[in-house]
Amino acid sequence: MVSAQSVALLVVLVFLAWTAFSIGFANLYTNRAATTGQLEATNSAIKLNPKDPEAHFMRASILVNDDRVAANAEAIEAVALRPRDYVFWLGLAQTRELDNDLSGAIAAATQAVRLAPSYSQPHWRLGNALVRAGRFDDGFSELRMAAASDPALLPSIIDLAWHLSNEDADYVKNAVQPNTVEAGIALSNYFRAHGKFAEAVQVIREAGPSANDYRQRLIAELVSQKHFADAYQLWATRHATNSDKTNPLFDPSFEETRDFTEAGFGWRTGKPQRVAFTTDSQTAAEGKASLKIEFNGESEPGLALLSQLAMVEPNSRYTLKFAGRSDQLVSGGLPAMRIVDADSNAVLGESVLRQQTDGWWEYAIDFAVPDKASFIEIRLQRQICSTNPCPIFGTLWLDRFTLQKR
Amino acid sequence: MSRQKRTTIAISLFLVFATSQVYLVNSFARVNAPSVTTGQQPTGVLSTQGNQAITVNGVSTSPGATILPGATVETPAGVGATIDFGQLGSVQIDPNSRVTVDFQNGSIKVTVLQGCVTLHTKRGTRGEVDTQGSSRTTDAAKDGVVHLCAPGAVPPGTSNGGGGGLGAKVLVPVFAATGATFALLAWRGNNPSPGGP
Repeated sequence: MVSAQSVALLVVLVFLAWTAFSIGFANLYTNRAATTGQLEATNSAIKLNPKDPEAHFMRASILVNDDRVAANAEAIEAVALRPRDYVFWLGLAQTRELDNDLSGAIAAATQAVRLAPSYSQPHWRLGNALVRAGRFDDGFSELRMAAASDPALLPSIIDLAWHLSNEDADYVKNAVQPNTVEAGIALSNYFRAHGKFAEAVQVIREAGPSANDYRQRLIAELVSQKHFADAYQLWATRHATNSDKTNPLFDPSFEETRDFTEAGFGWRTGKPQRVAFTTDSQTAAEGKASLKIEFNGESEPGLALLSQLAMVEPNSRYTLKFAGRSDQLVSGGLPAMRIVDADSNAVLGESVLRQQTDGWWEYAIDFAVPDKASFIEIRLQRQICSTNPCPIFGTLWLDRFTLQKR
Repeated sequence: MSRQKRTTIAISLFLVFATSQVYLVNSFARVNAPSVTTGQQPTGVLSTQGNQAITVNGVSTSPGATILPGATVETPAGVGATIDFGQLGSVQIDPNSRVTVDFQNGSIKVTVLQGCVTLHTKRGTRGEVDTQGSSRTTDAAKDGVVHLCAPGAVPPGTSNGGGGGLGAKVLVPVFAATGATFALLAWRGNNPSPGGP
């Protein structure tokens, strides 16, 4: 004989089994709907477990393009069943907006922000809804918070501000307020990509050392595109200019430069074969070091062996002076110091270096800067050879450069 | 009514008319002045398949983004997108497509550079889908649908391989899993999101 206790236990077990079965199967149907987009699957899920918010949420997602009123009702049901889950509030915000209830959408997204204030998505959705409602200041405030959690959102926030303001860089800066290095880089990069180089420089100029790599890339691009003034402005923020204000050259006696590959307005060396560059602390015309260049065979004559960009006044006359020391330079194409207009590449002055000197030799090149030129490049370059190949051997030291207006 | 009175009324009416014209012209002139759009302009809302990011105006963009007129939208393989223009309609963009969307009150124009789109317009909106060499439009007098692909585009297959019911093979594991599922679900009910992103 079966006792009443056993019957009660059996009933409880059957109830638990049925509950587990219905919840599990409803979940399975909901997952199936998520992958296939089948409305029938969500109907089955809801039939098995009407209190499953995820099934209602999924049904809303599927219906949203075809029956927005029904989708909205399902989203409301999902929120009612699990009111403390921000995901369902975001879903409701979406269905409300698609059902032409933008203020309701903003209210739902605001609730999502309250529930998950550290998440990027609620801020992102709310910010965009506010922008669509014409509340730009509030909208960009939320979008900035979204970007603070997820910097990957920055480019699209910048793009939104850019197009919304008819490409007004000041408006974009104000909307984005780039207070972090990531934001500064993203905004500067966007301006650069849209040809606003001065704005790109302005944004990144004050960013910390962690923006140095980006800063270097930007300087290199600005120089390659001949935006010298913008490049100089950016470069000067990280480099102390010459203490001698009458000499615009950077590190004129090779006392400081350690990286001769850095883009900008310092000394740069090319990468010719069989030519070695070292700073020589044993032989100096001034200060503690000079630049020693050793030639050991074939190298391309057209290549700039050493160069520096310098800012000059247009329509002025200058003299470049430097000390050179040569030891058995032998070649059909000897090195020459050349001054070119950085913009047009026109040669403004030149002096061929001696094959052999007795100690340091003082060179001087007078030249005139054209009307519209503001930057020149000083280049050490070999003369063109009459034969090919055209090797060069010997050692050259350079030191004490001065560039002075006459 | 005396002749003098009639003349006074005519002059008054003329002055009222002339003043209102000046006022109207002045009002219209002011509309275009601000550099930043401060009034309501039509916008679109982006949603994407699987909530994946797509490319808008050359930058990676998440669903929920605001789409402005003139936007170029690119979808990668396997990710379709929809832009909803509210009262105007919507455009569904197939995976692996590239389009530009232009819209204003009463019209939507989609230029398909690559792939396929389906444009839905609501009554009162004229829709146009262009691609190299062909163009299709919808009638503003009623709701309309236009589907168009760029030359050489292959519309994605519609079959998803899904059957109707659940296979018998899954039944046994389902029973085994229901207990665990029940236990898991019993703990849910609050916001499942952690404090940090």
